[in-house]
Amino acid sequence: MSLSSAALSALDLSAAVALVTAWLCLVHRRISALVATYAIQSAAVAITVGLIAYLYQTPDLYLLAATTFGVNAVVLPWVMDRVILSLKVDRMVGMYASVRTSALVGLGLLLLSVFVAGPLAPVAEVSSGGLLPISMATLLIGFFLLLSRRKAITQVVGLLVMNNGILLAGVALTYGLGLFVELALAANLLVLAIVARIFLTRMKESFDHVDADALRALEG
Amino acid sequence: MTFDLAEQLVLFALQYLVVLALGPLLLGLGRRVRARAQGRAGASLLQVYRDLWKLLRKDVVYSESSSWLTRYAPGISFAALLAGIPLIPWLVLPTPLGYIGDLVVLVGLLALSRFIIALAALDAGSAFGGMGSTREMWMGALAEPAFLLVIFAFGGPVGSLQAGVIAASGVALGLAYVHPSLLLAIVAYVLLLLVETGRLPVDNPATHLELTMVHEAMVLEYSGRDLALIEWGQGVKLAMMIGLLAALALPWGLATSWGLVALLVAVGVLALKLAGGHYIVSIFETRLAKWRLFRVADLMTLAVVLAFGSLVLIYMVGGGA
Repeated sequence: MSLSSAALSALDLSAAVALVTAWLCLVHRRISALVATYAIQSAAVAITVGLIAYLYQTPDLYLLAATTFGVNAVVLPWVMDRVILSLKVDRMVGMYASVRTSALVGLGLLLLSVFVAGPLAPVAEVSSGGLLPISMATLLIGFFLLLSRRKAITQVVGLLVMNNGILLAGVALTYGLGLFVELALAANLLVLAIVARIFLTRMKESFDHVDADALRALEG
Repeated sequence: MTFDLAEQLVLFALQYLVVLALGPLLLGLGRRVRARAQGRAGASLLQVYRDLWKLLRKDVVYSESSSWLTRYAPGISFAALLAGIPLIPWLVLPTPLGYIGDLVVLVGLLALSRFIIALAALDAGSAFGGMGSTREMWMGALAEPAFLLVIFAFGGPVGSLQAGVIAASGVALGLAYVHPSLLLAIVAYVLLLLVETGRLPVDNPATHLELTMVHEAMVLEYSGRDLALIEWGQGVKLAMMIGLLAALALPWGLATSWGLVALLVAVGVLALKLAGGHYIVSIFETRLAKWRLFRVADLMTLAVVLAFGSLVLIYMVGGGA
């Protein structure tokens, strides 16, 4: 009993870490700090999934937790760091919304996700009260990050934060979208990172910057 | 278990003794940790006590253009801090005479202590004093809403704003005290602690450049025993801010029974918590440069948002796992 209640407390904490790191992603101004925070978030998500596997005795989730840790927390941040180094881009995150606005929007998104996820709570397989709203908020904050940042590389991080949110929501609702779907997703992310790397390198070569905003000039 | 009045009075005096004695040590520890992290040997931990003793024996010099405010401000500021000490559980639960006030009173007392020093800084009419006090009051205005929200976030699940009651429920609940909202509140509190105690991204306590000073700029006019009181007060305030976090976030280890062994253990645990907390803050500090002043608003917005998010999780999601 005590062991599983400890696991339940740890689940609460690791879910909270996922939310706090999503918020921190909104306020970082350096790209390397953003990537490091994303790595911590992915580790927290992996631990959350592992704890759910332990608490609800669903062994295939252990595999998912291990994959999440390996791909999202280790390989992807490493690839991103390599991209940052090889592109020699400006180290600052370009923002459309200021740090303060971003933080406040993050709060609004948490409120929104609490309203949306509240009625869903009885449907969820995992009965931790906070997990579903927290995962929705992580998803939405990732989406906002994707929208409000100027450089392609930070937009990729936004997409990855969104993916973490989707993973958590999926596990909370249905013990995951099915192991094979999740594994395919992880593989997809890897491909995405590689494509993004090639794309960014080409973009840097052609235009000498990675500012996605400037691509609008190409529209007819 | 409760204590009778005599025991409470003894404990009341004991916690004053411990906090007043440990405050300067904490300052010394922070300086030592920063020195070591920068590759310097650093002064002895006892150097702060020697400095205080030296200052206490020196004459006080007042500017001719200053009024009674400059003379009384250090005392009032220190007294406000002293009045706040019993509101925090230091050694035992229930807190001796802890019912005399809650955490909102504590926030008020810290604000009074800051306000009176800022006012006195304007008194002599020097330019640096004015700069320091505008900056300090601006930061204070940003920090106070965050502080109150953080307190509500800690007290919300318990339904009380008395630190002793919150800590007691933490000890009673054990692991069930842990809730996602707790982590958000802790992170918000740590951001707040950096501003309240003037730590590095916000204010550099070791600076000698007047243009970047905040707290130091306000106390430039002071000398002798007045300066000693201000420095000592800084140590005490640091101990109070870390002690409050330790009591709210990590309430385990407070003594609940009367006895020499229990009290000694409680003193040891308290020293460990304070030193550990300040060690982490100091290490964190060595990895940061001072920020542009107006970015403090970003930091405090984040603290407000985290504390508010914590309240949202408590009242709209509720229950915990």
